[in-house]
Amino acid sequence: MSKESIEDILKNIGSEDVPAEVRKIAQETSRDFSETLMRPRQHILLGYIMKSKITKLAAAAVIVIVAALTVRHLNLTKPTYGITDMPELIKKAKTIHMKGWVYFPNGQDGREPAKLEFEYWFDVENGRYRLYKPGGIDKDTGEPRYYTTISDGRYVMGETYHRPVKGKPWKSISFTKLSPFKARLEAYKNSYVFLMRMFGNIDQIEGSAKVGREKFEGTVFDIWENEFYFSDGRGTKIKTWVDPDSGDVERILFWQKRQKADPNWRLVIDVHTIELNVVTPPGIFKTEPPEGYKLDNTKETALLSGLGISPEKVMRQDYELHVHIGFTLKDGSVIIGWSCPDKNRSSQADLFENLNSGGNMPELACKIEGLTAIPRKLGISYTGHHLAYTHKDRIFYEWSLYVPDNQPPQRSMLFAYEVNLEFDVDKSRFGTWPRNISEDLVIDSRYDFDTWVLGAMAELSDNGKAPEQVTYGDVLQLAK
Amino acid sequence: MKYSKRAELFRQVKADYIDFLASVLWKLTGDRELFTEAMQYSLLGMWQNVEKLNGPKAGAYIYRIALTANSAAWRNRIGRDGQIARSQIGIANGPDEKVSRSELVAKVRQAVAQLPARQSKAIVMRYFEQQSYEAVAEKLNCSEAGARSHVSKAVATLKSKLAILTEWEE
Repeated sequence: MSKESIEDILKNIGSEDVPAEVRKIAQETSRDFSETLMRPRQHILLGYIMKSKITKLAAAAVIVIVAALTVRHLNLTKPTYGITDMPELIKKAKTIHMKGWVYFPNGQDGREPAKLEFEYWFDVENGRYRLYKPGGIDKDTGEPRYYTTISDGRYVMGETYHRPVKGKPWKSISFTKLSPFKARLEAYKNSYVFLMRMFGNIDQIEGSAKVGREKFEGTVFDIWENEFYFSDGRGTKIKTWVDPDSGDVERILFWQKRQKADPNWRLVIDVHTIELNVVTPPGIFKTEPPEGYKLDNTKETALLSGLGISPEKVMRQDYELHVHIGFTLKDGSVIIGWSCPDKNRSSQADLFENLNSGGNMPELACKIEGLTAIPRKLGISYTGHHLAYTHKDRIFYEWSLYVPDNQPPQRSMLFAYEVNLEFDVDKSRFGTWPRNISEDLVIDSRYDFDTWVLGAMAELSDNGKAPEQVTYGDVLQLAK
Repeated sequence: MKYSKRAELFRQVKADYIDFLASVLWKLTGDRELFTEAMQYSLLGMWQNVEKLNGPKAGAYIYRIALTANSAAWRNRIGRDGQIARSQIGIANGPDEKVSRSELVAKVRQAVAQLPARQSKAIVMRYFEQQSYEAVAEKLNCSEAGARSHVSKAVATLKSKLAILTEWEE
């Protein structure tokens, strides 16, 4: 080691010449930036940064909010954005960054709720995400519990809390392997679906009212307020600050109350940062376990979490019934992908022959013949029809369309669908079967349908393709 | 200011200062990836503040933009939570471990990026740009004694942050 002083090192740095190749990089970077400025509106700076060679290498991406400020300066076309534009802007966003506070009830003795931070990053297109969120207050220590879950598009790294040892809780790390479709689906559910649960459905959003304007750091935001109630009386109030020039959301406040008559709204979530189409910080989706954590498993030993049944799965009983995914279409009809593997049968191919869309389902040992909307007091039942089938790794997957007997309310007003099963063999021979379906996706458009319904069918096909006859228009027509 | 006028001003400022910017950023980063990233940030900062660059203080503003860009680029590299900045910089796990000079220089650069703004500016101007204390004072809008104080505090901060390298400190 030399005995150089800090001053000497600094002086030596100062006397270094700028290499020619670095000057070239400077010129290229500068030229790229200028070219980007000449492009029409819409996130020009994002485009600029993504174009960078270095960024493409994912070695040095930068976090730059695709500044509405900058876009506004361009003085080009100026559409006005309102609250009803939010769902589409969020749905089409390639990346999303959200940060804010969650308010947890803090015991029964009237103490103030605990205000705990959360931060989510999503690269929806590539199925990558990083969720840093609180899980409440640790009973043993009285300290908040935080969990970090990271998906790199292939593996999900999650944390598990363990009971304190010598008064200190500790965490371990576990890995799950995701199929590419499942990774995108998880990112979508954690971002768009999460936000839409706050905003309410499209009809509810349209019931929003502009209640004022407020200036933040030189930008005037419209304040939109909405209040709606679920069929069990639970109420939701949401306040959103939207920049009418750029569509940027500055803040969302979300309150709840248990009954309409209750005058007290409880602040539940404060999202103070929402950025769409930002460049994500480098390395943020890396699934490298932090040092010192105990590993429950490794990437090499991680179990695959796809939509379908793992080929390695060993059935303990003769039959199983699985729901793999569900979708609610905009007309209220429902599509469910399900399967009923039979341990003693080498193939179910013959059961899926000669089936017609809109006709009977395959004669499996158990069928999901219908659904009932929950809450049941709505009195809405759904009758199931065969729509299509796919097969992957020797498992046959049935895709059924369930048509309601009455016009159902918007999906957000329902808690779940209860599955109505028809067993053809004794139930005792079944290892598992579902009771309810609650985590279905809402399909509002052909884009949604092609992305998620056909995407799911392709995922559960050996050839990676959805059945050709299944199209958005035909399915809506069939449901009629 | 209209877009066309902004664009013209930006083009002019860029032409005037690109070499200066490249020189400062290279000395601050010493690494192609960091340099490119800091360059991107700087251009973005120049575009967003282009109105302020239309006058005699343009050079000082660009200094500020470059230093901010450098800090942002380093912050991205070492993580937003500044784990490395939290305590001693973890160049070595113990005093017995040797560190190569290039690693050391990189760590010095990293530590410079984490200095308070005025100290960082003072160090860059005094050592990287090899300017006189008088010039540093003028750009920092303070007395010459003040400039000396900023430089001296910055060096002390760097020494403290890098103190784990006891052998090198002696």
